[in-house]
Amino acid sequence: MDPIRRAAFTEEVLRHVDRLYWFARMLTHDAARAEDLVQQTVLRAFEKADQLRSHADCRPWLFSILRNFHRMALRHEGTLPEPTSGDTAFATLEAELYPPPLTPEALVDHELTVEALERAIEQLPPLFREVLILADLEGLSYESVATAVDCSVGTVKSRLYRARNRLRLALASESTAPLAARRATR
Amino acid sequence: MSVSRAVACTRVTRWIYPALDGTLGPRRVALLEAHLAGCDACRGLHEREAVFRTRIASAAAARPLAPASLHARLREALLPDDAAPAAEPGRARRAIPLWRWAVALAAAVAFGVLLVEPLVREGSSTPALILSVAAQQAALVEGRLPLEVVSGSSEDIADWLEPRVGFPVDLPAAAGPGVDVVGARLTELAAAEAAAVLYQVDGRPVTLFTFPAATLGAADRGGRTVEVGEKGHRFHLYRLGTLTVTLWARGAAGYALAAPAEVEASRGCAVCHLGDEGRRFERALGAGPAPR
Repeated sequence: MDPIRRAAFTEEVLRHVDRLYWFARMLTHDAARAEDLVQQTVLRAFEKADQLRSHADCRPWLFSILRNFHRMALRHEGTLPEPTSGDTAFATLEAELYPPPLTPEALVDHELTVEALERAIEQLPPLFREVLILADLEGLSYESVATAVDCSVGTVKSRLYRARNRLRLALASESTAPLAARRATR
Repeated sequence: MSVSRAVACTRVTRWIYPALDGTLGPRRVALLEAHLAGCDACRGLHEREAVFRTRIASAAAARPLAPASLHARLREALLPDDAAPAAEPGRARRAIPLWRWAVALAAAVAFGVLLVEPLVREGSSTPALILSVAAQQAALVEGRLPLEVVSGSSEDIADWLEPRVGFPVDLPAAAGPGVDVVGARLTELAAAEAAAVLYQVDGRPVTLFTFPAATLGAADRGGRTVEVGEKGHRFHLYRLGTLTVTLWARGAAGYALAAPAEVEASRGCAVCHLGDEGRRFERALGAGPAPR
């Protein structure tokens, strides 16, 4: 790779380190492991830079690398999550047929902190968690999320639909749980 | 509530998610908007959902950043010394012929220009700032870093930048025909805030980066140093592949001008605060060796 392109690619990747780190933290719940994952991801991205088209948004690709490293580690530990029953065509249909549940007014009125959001996201099943973060918090399109998590767009929609519903429930219980109970769960 | 209204509500409620996601087709968007205009219940649901998403996004905006040590480790790993292009390594190690010193001295006397450190120091490497500048010049030209403000007026660009950056904005006037300002964006260089202003010089993209002077760091002592005029305007030139990067400081602000090799240095300097002394820059470059 010529020096300018190498430097351009490096800058592009380094711009996303904070986002990769948070994604890794939400997947692992562990700051040290998250750092390791980000480091592995960035170095692998650099090795495979030629695979990326020059004009492409590299975020889905980077998230995909990070997710694969994470899954490799889980597989090694024997804790890799299996796809849920929600990953079916029926679930996609369900998402299209039924209206989303109402967002409780309490959630809208309630001030939401990043800590509360993190706790609620941590309650989601891993496969829901990743699509919610990538779609709703990183702003990736359905197609980009599908690339990042290696599934179809229909599956992304299905998981996202369920993830949002569960997030609402988690946040609702978070906002009504006594402070002491919340502290006890940290 | 009538039966038809209830049915319509059920249907449009399904469209709220995709509408907020931006994936609902235009015909349904129009139907949804028409329905919301006449239905308080659905409008309330839509607004609540939109506010809820905003709340989540706002909370997420405060998410923890990666530790500075991780950033530093990655930057060091990806921008090692061997990334320096050392454009002309053989030349860098060559002894300086006496006649070149003589020519440089004559030029300095004739034009009030003093050439300093005309050749590359052996074993030196390209500063991270220069690599960042080169990278972002490429990204701007390729459209990967889109402009945030587009204007043909330097004053408008400066007015846009001024409240957005924490350092003084003092853009040089675009001098002469063939030099047009295109637009600007906020950015970062070597982990510090910066602004990039894109120009067209003779139809070629030239980018002026401005940032706090402290960002210049060691880069302000390397490269090929050129002093121009009696006021002693000092520039540091680096060559990276086909790009020339010129650095200078002015007050509390630092500047980096990235110009492709096809743009003659004197034309690139159409936006480098020299004003009427620009020709002296050209003469200085003509008299000395190429920047490293």
